[in-house]
Amino acid sequence: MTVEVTIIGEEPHPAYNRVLLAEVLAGRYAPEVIALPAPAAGVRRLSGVRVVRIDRPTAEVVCDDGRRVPYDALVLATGSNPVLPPLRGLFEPDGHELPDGVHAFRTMDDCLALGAAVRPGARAVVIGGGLLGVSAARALAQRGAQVVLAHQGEHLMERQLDPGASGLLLRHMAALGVEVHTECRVRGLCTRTVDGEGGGGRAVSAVELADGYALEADLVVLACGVRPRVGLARAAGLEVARGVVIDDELRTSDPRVFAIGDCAEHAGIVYGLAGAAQEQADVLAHRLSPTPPLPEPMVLRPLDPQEGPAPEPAPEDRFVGNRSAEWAPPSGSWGRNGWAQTGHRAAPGDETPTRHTDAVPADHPACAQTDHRAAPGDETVPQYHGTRTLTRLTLTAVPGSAGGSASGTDGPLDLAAFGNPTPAPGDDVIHLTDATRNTYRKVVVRGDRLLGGILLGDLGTVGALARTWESNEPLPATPLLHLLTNDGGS
Amino acid sequence: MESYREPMSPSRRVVIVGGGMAGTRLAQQLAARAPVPALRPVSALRPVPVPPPVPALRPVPVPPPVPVLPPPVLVLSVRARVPAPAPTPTG
Repeated sequence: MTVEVTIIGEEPHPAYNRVLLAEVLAGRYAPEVIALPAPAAGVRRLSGVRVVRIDRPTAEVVCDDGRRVPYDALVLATGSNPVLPPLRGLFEPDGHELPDGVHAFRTMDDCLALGAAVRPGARAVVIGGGLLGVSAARALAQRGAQVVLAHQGEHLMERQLDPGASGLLLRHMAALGVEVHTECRVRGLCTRTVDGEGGGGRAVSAVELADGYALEADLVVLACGVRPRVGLARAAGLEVARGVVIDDELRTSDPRVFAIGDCAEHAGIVYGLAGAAQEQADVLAHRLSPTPPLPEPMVLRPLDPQEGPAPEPAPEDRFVGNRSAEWAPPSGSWGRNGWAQTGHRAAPGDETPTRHTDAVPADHPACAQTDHRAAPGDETVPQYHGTRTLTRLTLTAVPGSAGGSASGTDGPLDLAAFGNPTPAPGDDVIHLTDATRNTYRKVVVRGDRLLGGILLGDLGTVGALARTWESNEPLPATPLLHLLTNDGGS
Repeated sequence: MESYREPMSPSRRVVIVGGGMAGTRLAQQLAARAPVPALRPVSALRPVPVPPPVPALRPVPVPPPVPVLPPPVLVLSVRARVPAPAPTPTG
């Protein structure tokens, strides 16, 4: 039996690695460089086509051009949309158009529009200090813009970093020329009327802060997270919570409809991560393939009951947000089938690349390894039980900077975070700061297991830590070695 | 819940909505794992323009060597155990 694969996408561009969009914005890579390998010749790809409805009774999807595409199995990989904050002046009454100069940063079109608008000396305000906002701010600074980052939270990248690591990141951003304001709430946008085709339009002129100050702006980037795209699923009557609800077989409430990626919610978690999406895609490919090849060797482990019932993540923690800024290797690190490993550039001393480079939800019972074990009574069908991944980001130096001064603040900055770096009572915290090299390392250990950690400035130990984290292996008796040596103390 | 196990036709039609990383990855994996039939003209489907070939990767500029740093002047290592909360008096 054969499989007829049709992939329908709204974007006219070939598929691309959105992890690297910030590098395109920074001018480091051309858009085509981050294109993913084209699907095999037998895969039918419909680009620039939007699916407007799922007709479940007839098992067809209806496209915006009127065509109907029948399916035996339907997979929703609809991704997510950027969150547009409720700012005064963002939209006109009954309007849906953003003012000129205001950009989301989610898609290649967003990236290209922003890249075309930025000029040396342009005043840019980035709203949001998460991973995406930090990456966008750095990229704009690299293009010569005067960048102000306004972040509502207490410190940058709160979901990944603790205050100490965030302080180091803030120093680094300042060295890049980015002015960072934390605990800074944006109230609205000021706009001015501009002439345009078909009548006057609006262009942003300033960002109003809640404390009454205003930041003059030629460009505004909205980096306030993302929200799963669930409209199609909801309209089709599928079960939807924050995302499209799926089970361990990646099925929705309709057994012929599956969901993967940013739009899917598994065990209460919307990952919003490239690594999780790829892992889900791999599991689903196993499931939908009529003649699976020989299984790959896998390391299996049962869930450790000593991990205990980890606390239910707060709703705001369940979705890690827009991961456009995730780091991935630009070249030379293509994995199997020509795919970029979204994780792990090999660090010095780290010869064994591991899998992912994504943000991580907190430790959660669902965060076991993807389990390719056969289900009871089913010798061939893999299941998905969650993803343990880590966030990596490299903030490259702005051209003209020293590229690595003794202070370490004006060269590139590597960053990695995984798991839950916030200790609970009884947890061990191991913390190492090197003021000379501007590095920061912290791991949280519960019993003999790694619970989470943060590395900044020197990722020499990230390989060992990532392997330990991903496999949930017991730590050596002296876990401090994980921080002090690049081989994990072995 | 009924499991999707039996094919509906000799050639299983898998439709993926979303051409991003997840959808493309799945299409790649399916194509790699299962025989994909040669495309044939389908009246309901209009021809799809073939995207231009992806040009070769640009060479990545090699960053300048990082200067050798002096020995650390301060290494602060702290190992601390987070105390458990004090027991609540009973009775």
